[in-house]
Amino acid sequence: MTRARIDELLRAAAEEGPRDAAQLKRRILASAGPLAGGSAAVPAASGSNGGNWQAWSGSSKALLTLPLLVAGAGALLWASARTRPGEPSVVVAPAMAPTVAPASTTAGPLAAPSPGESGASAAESNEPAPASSVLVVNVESLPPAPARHDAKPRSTLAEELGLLERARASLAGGDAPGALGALDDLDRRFPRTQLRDEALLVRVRALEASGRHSEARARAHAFLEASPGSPYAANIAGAIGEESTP
Amino acid sequence: MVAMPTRKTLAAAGAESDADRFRRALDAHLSFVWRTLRRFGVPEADADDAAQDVFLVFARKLSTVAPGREKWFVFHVAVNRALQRRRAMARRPERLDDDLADLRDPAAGDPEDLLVRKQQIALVDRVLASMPIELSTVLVLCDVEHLTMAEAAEALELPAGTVASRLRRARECFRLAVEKEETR
Repeated sequence: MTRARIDELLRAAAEEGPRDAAQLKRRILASAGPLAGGSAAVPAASGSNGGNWQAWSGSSKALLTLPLLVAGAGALLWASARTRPGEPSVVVAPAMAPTVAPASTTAGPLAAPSPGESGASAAESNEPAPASSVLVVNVESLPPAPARHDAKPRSTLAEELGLLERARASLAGGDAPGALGALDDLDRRFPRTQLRDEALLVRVRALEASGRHSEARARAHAFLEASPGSPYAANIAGAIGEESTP
Repeated sequence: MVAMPTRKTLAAAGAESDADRFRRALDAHLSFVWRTLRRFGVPEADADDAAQDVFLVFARKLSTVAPGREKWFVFHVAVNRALQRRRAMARRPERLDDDLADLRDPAAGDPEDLLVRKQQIALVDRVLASMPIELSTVLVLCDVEHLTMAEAAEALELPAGTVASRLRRARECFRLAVEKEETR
């Protein structure tokens, strides 16, 4: 295998891109609605053949941005109150109509862990105000605005990868029980880990290495039955000395 | 009645509006997100929809993303989404792609070149899918997206030394897997 061949392959992948990036950008802006400065949400903006993708990610895209806009309005009120020191520091906020409530229904299938799940989401942190018509707030009485720059999104993927790496390293170092411990940690802390298949492969190998063959086989067979088409199927079957039958 | 903020008033207040921030990230990172989705298994036919989905998550979470980390945020969302999709697809028969349709499209260039390129890309993606995820992420960032190791370390929130050693292993793993694929 020559270095040139590898470079050629990687270059082909690097040069790939959306067929019509400008059109895709417009579509995303339209679907992101007011937040992105686009027109009102276009529910049917998604493309012709997104069937499979949408089947598992079906979010109510049009609803996502409203709470952010409301938050933006709040920020402006805050800023404008502070930039006019001569005036009474009282802000009159319009009562928020409970129309933002549907945003909380966007969790659905999207609720799987993703980066940035650390703090309250924009939707959660902008609960509609109770039904009073006008809310009068003395700015001086408010707590300082939260330092939003500190709100670094927590990446669960990084942590999950760290645990998987620990399991793999333990196994490579001949410490199968250590590997199984790390995998148990992964399962406990991230029950819905997106590295589930990877983790199972390492677990099956670790069980084999510990002499727990029947347990390894049971785990592997359960996986192969549930996900015969997985890219890990061959490796998992191989780990128990079998061949996968795609 | 209080006027809603406009981009002008926010700019006057010295802050970049959410709308500007969103647009800037979309301009800068759309292709990066699209390719990342592809490298982690999203078929070409689904990549536009998937990229749209990633940016809508970004829009929703904008206030939690620290300035300067926009690219890494959308990268993580894209990888997560692609892996979720890969799992979901493993449970049902893979739909046939019409990826070859554009070979007949004269605007798409020479059909033979296109076919070769598609085959090369498919090979890269098969090999990446067979690699441990902690190696494929580093390889994609450093050798496909040409980020520096420092940038990859920032993206993956890892020490630079870890990225360097993973990259070494990733390149070796990639090379061996390509060799195996090509001698099949």
